[in-house]
Amino acid sequence: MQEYKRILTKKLIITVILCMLLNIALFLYGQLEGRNINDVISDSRQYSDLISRLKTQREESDFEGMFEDVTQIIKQDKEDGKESSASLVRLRKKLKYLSGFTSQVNECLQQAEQMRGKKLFSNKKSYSYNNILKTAEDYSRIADVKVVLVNDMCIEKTIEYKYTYYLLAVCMIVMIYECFKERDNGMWQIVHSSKSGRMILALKRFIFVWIYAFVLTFIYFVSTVIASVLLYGVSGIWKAPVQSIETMSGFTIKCNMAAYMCLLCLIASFVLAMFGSIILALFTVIRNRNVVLIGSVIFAGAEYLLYKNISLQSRISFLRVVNIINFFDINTLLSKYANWGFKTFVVSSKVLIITGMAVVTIIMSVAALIKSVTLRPFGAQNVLKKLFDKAGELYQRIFALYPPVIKEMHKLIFTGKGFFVIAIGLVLTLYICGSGKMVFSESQKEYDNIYIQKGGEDYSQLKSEIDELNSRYDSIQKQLKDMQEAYKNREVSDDEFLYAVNAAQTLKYAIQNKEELINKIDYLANIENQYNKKGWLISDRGYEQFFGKYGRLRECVLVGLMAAIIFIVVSRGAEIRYSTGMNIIENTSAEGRKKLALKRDFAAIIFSAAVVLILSIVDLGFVSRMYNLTYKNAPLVSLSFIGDYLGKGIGRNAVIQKIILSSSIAGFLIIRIVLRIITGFVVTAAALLSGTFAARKKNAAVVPIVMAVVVLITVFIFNGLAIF
Amino acid sequence: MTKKLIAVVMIICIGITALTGCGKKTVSKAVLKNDMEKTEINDIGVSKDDSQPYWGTYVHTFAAADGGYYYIGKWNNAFFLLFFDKDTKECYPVCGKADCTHDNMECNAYVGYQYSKNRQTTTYYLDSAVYYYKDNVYLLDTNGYLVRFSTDGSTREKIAVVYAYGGESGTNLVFHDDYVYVYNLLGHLGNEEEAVETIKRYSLDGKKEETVLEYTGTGAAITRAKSYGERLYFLIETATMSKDEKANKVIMNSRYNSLYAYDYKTGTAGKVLEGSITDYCIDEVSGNIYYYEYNDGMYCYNVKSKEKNKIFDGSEETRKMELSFDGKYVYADNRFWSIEAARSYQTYDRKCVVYSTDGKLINTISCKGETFAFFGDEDYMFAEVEFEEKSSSGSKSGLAYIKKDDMGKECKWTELK
Repeated sequence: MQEYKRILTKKLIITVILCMLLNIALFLYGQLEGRNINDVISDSRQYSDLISRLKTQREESDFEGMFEDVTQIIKQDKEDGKESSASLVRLRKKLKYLSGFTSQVNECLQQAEQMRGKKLFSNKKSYSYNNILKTAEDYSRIADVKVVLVNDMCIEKTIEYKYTYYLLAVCMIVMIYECFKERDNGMWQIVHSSKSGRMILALKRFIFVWIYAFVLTFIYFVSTVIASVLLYGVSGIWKAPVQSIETMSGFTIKCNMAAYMCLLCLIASFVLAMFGSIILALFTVIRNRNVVLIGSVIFAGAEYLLYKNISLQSRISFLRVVNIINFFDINTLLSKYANWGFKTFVVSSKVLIITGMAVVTIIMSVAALIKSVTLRPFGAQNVLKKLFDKAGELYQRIFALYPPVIKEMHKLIFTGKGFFVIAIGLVLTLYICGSGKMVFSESQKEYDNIYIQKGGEDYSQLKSEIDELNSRYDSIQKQLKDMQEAYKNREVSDDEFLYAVNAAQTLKYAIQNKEELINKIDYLANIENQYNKKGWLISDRGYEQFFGKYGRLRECVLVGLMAAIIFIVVSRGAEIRYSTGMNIIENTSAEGRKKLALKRDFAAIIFSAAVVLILSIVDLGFVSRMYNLTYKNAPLVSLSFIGDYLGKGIGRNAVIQKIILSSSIAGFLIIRIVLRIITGFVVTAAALLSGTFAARKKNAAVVPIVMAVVVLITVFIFNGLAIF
Repeated sequence: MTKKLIAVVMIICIGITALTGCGKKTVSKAVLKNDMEKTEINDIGVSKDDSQPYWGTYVHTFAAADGGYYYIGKWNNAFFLLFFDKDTKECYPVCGKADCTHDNMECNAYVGYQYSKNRQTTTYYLDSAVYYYKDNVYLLDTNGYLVRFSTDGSTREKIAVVYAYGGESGTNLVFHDDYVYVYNLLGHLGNEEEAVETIKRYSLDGKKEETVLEYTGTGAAITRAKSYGERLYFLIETATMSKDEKANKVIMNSRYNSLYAYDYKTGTAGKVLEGSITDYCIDEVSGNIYYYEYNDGMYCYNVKSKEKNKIFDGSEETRKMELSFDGKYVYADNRFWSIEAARSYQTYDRKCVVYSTDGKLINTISCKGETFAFFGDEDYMFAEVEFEEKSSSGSKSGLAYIKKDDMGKECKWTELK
């Protein structure tokens, strides 16, 4: 009980309450859609009134009749020049769904029956055949469900709302951080040495995670439902079949809305508890919690990439099905009908996902409980470690001779395990640069060859070739025109006429083949006329993939990655000073305050500049090689997608215009790197401040939160800066 | 010290990752130069596997499989992989999900529409490239990948990038011995610069890529590649222009060239038949090569006896014919000629003539308007047909078939529904 009292600090309770209020606020904001709350309530009342009116005019199950009535009203509104209300349009859509529900289910059962006899799916050992059998079995459960027309917006909006899961995950992580306070305040050694301070303590924490998950999920769900009820009202919805909601048509368990809400809350609680157990297990097993967090974020990123890039029909679709991304929308996970399997083994995807996660949770929890005994506060002492320690002492003696700036950089890179973060950053940069390569067509590659051979600063030869082609086409067209009359009078033979027609056709084809070159030459002529600047004839393609609109996402991700690396490493440096007590020793010496602080900050700045420079050079090198970027000394305005900015949007700014018109491509690339280095300096300052603050206040949650905000702002700014 | 060791190991790992990232797949190159010598063929040989050479080569919309045919067709206003059952004559999407309404992207049979404006963010499949080989269906997607589909549509697997999609594609495939041979039938037709035309092959496990043939020429393209016996046969078309300065006229030069063959075993290539050949087909059993000479007629050349016979004379309406052999009859279609002639305002009847191997005319199948025959195997032939009435999809043209039960009787196209 003492352990639970210790974890349930004021800070945690305030965080939970704040997140709950944020949850409700976000839910309400999501329902507004440009209206105010009173409008939402009155729209919902209007919707309920419409439903009541229809039910008095028709039988409750006569959805087709009701659909006709509503369609008539909408048609009348259109004839009168009025716009039909949103409630009416929504009601029509709802009635269309309800009237088709039973036939949709029956069609599915019939289709299953027919498909079993079809050649492609009749092999009894194939996945398709067994999937058909399972689908028929599942859908037959809801074949006799009688859907009803009620104002179920309260339930529909609640189950579609997803932010609850994100906020619950945040609360869970904050709570788990609280569990491991003893690792910050030196109590770990004492706690670990007591009988109940190892496995029993770990077990108590696991139990608390499960209780916390269930209680928190219940509170958040209930609060969201209450907010929804206040907005949309409840009128006979609880007993209505959940399949009355359109998005629930694939839910093949017969239950009413109340039962479904309970089921959803229960499953969400389980998922949150399993998530919490896995994070707790990782925190228990791995000494450094920040490493766990970074690793979890990387894992989540990898899971997202797998989810996005693997199709459902892929042979490795298992990696998409059993994926944590599915847990951020539990309602879709439950309501969407999907199976997975191979040969005769067919299982529902949701069962597979939840079972998979449960198995992982059990394994990791057991491993954590065992490790909680063997993981000692000071680490193991063995012969190898003693040898390393001796070598370390020698290294320290040599290292003492280095200037303070180098020592500070050493602290960032090695002591704080910054090299680990840098290594991951490099791997991610290589992946980002190498993936999503645009494959150009043969004709595009031929154009690029022409740019290299005949383009550049002097493209007069190509220009005259194109002019010659155009004049030949004009002359053949004239020839053809003259021949037409003669051909009608049989003065010209079929063969001669046919040859002329084919020749014209082929010349037209040849000109079309040069269309890109013609457009580019016209663009350069316009630039010269308007801005008195002579551009070169070069290919836009590769550069557009690099810093044009096609490379925007890649660039934003890279800038975000750079900011994250700098932030993590630099803030860690600040934390180390306080956690090792070095701040006290440094402050006692004459040169340990402002002078050392300046050197420390200078080292951080050099580090951030180095990171930006290295990653930018890797990025440039990779993309340059991938797309064979040539003519880097050409004027920047030679690129038509850059020239398009002149006089529009960001290009209206005089400074930007000057840069576009006066720099070369190489110069522009340097400007971009310098801009990133400056951004790196700003991120460094934020990291130093937040790292010091977090260490002073002993609040490890500050750093990830500030980092997330800084990275998002950086990405947002660079996204807005377009070509930069 | 531990940290330094870890740092060194990390740097080595990154270096290895970067270097492996730099490397391409292993490519063993067998380059064949352009100066082909005439090859003496004494035996066609027997094909190891069924590469279905009886289909037309310009578009490969249909592929024969066990019990039916795969093709890409319109279904619910989008494009899906469909299956035509030979016995029941039913068409249905290749999707084994009983709850699927086959009208959205989640359907297993959905293959999109290739002429999408937003091709960078959406992947579609070419409806002109449907192949069946060793119990798998193969399609080309607009990212350049050859994709293997399972026969029930439940799994897809990307094999390798075999071409670059540029809005349209002349990419054609031939399957043989667990390899796919890739060439572009548009090539550099009409260009005035010298260029290299290639046939590349890729292993179906995605591990190997090789250029097996190169041809250097001006305004050339490799066309009509088909696999028979131990060789890959193909034509080389050229379309060049020259200007007669005196007469101030532009003159089109000859477009059709000889028949060539690439030997799979030896990796060599050579000329098989000289002439202005517009198309050909081969009977592996008898060793007959049936070919059509531009503006002349259809011939039969036997590789064993070296005898050459004329099957029928060409006429005004059959200057150029496309050929197919289904194991029993030879089919000759004049579609490409009628399109070419229409440019000079000449109209000819569209038709597909059927000849027996001993030169007897069996049938003349009427193909109105823009009918595009895909030919077929011994059971069915297919085409995109212009109907007199609107087809079931509401347009004037649609896919149709003829059952080859009795080719001697009058044949009518039946719409695929």
